[in-house]
Amino acid sequence: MVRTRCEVRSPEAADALRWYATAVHVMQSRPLADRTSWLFLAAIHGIQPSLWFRFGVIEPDVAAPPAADQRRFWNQCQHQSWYFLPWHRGYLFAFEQICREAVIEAGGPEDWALPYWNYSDTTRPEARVLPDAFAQETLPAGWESTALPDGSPNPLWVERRYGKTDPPITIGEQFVTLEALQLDDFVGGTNDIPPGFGGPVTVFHTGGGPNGSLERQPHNGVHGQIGGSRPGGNVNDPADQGFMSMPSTAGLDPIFWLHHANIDRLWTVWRRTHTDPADPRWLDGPIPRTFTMPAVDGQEWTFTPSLVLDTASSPLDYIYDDQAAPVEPVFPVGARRAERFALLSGGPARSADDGTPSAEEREGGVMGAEHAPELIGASDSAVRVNGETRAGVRLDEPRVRSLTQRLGRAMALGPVSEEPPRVFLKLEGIRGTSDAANYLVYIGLPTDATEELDPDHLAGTLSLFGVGRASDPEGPNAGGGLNEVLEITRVVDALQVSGNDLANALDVRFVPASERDADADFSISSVRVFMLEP
Amino acid sequence: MRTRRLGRGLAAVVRRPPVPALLFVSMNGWAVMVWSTIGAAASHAEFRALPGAVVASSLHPTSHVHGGAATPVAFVMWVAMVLAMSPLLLAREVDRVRLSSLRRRRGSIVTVWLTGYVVIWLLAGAAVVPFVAWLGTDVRLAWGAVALVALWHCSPLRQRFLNACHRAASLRSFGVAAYRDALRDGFATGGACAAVCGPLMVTVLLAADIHLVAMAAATLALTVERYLPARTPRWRLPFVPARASEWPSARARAGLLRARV
Ligand SMILES: [Cu+2]
Repeated sequence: MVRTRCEVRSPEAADALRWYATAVHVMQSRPLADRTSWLFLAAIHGIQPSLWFRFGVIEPDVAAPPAADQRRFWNQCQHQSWYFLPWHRGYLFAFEQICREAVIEAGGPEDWALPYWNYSDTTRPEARVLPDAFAQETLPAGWESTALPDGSPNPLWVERRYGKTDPPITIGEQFVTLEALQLDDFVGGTNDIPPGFGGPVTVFHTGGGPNGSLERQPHNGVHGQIGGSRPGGNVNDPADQGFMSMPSTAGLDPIFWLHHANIDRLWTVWRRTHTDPADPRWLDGPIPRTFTMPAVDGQEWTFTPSLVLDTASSPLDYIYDDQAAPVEPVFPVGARRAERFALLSGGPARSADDGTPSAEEREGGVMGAEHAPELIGASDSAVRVNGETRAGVRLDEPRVRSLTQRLGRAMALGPVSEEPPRVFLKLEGIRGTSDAANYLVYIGLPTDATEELDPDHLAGTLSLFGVGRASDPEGPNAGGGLNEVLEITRVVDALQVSGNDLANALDVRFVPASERDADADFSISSVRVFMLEP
Repeated sequence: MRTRRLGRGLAAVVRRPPVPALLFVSMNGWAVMVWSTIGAAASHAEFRALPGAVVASSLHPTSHVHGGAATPVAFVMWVAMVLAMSPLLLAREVDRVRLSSLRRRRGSIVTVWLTGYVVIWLLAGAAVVPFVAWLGTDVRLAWGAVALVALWHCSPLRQRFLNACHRAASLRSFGVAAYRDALRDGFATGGACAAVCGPLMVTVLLAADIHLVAMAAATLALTVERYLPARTPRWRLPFVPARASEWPSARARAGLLRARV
């Protein structure tokens, strides 16, 4: 039987949500050591026992599962990895089955499926608001059952869900845009330039390094926007973060599963027009650990990505009520180029040079054949971000001159000319402890721009979900931190069109997305600019 | 089935630049190693008489590394070993250094970086070779060294160095600072590598006539280890998987309980 996962605000989902609350309640009443308990399932994503004790999630005298269970099941979540999507798909599937069992036992429907939350739907203004059923502290009216009498606490509500706004928690629109769906390849290019849709090649990898695009946004952004940090607390202290803000607690929030169902749906959307990796290291990976989940009966279920590619067939057997592409167009080959030239040559006319490529450009052309990114700028030192922060990136003059010449020619001649290189901003070695932080990154703003930040200069968002663990020198990432790659081709093109040539420096500005983000304190070991032949 | 497909994945990795070039360098190292082994065996009659299969018997007190004349041979072997074993481990590092450099400087920056890296290994060799010669004078010393190396492989300090290999430093890209950073990072990476791999290479030298086998095994182990995730530094057997979580001791938990009240 193929089941359908429905959008959380659709009429079909109302009943599914009510049963979800019942199942969460049943699972929460099981002890930690039970493989089908709420806590055990959350620990599969991540657990930091000391933090769980501190949060009062578990009591210090709790009976821990056997060490072998901890080793096989716990702390498996794959982040900043090409396994991000398949691992979370298998994880959600295992969770949904255990939930469904609880639903059926409580007298619910046999075809129960996990709802998803589509916060990116721009046609519905309320789409970015946390669904009401999660925001109420006591059981919503009409949800009473024998297990959950009237006036019970609402299993879908958690205290440690702070968000970044006054209630109701609302996600900022910049954090749910779907540029990721426009990426052609699952795995990124050299040095993750351009980034891939699904993430970089890794072994079993719980986090650190560069994100795949879908993971970067909307995934990471939504985690911070929902989890947030305690108002009046310290955004840099793990003990003050919301559950959703950190990988080691995210699975404890019932909204986590609806968020990930949506991310899973977006993978389904993408793969209708694109292809997954054919690399056997991905299909049959990973090493050295395997993906292991509890089945309904508590037995082990191990899977590889190759087993979870098509959701509509066995063993997964589910579809989404909406699998259509939400962004138009999901770029066909060549459309990106056409759009680029529309911007470039639609701008004010410029005097073109004679059109013969310079020695430098020819050199660039040779490199282009390899599609290797080329460094053209870098910050001279590490950047400490604490509230609104400006960083200067020094640019290599000869290479930038060549870039602007080619942009100028494209402006003058239009689509008959060669497409100029694409440009990327790379934030390397992002380290800190403010997992909840959400920032906006602008480039090339005029020095005196303080009030209105021109959206034409927005390079992208920066969300630090997972930064604490990735920065831990004793953790699995050895403290390397996170990396972020933002394509800034469009911004650079617009700068050129408006007559602001790139000179020998580029101004990068980090702007907190909300007041609560302003106290975040993290460092970036290097801000770099790369160009890539198209 | 899974193993076979993973094997094909590995084959794909081997074909991706700069891996073929690095493999070529590595092959040269192996060639020198084989050549010097034959040379050493020819010049030391007792060498050929040794049974090759058992490590114990091959930890021969009078192996080729004893005394004055053999020391240069051992030094050549050390360099060959570095040449043979390190290129694959360096694939990621060289990539990182290249991509942190302005294109017109890539060659010179990578050269500076490699110089720093190699200098560390040559210094390590200069220190290690006479030491190995001394260890070779007495089988008990040799076995003692093997035991110490085994202990080193279980130690948290070695894990710290191994983790340092995972943590890529950011190199500056402009001016003299770019060269300074490249040299410093070459030194640092070479130092961490020498601490992680050097001691095992000492035992390879001690393994006398089976050192080609020992070296192959060591190369495999060290390469695999380098590509696995970092682990929390603590005493443990090599390759034993890390515990998934740090469950506080009963005492620590009792403390938490008291603090709560
Ligand atoms: Cu997540």
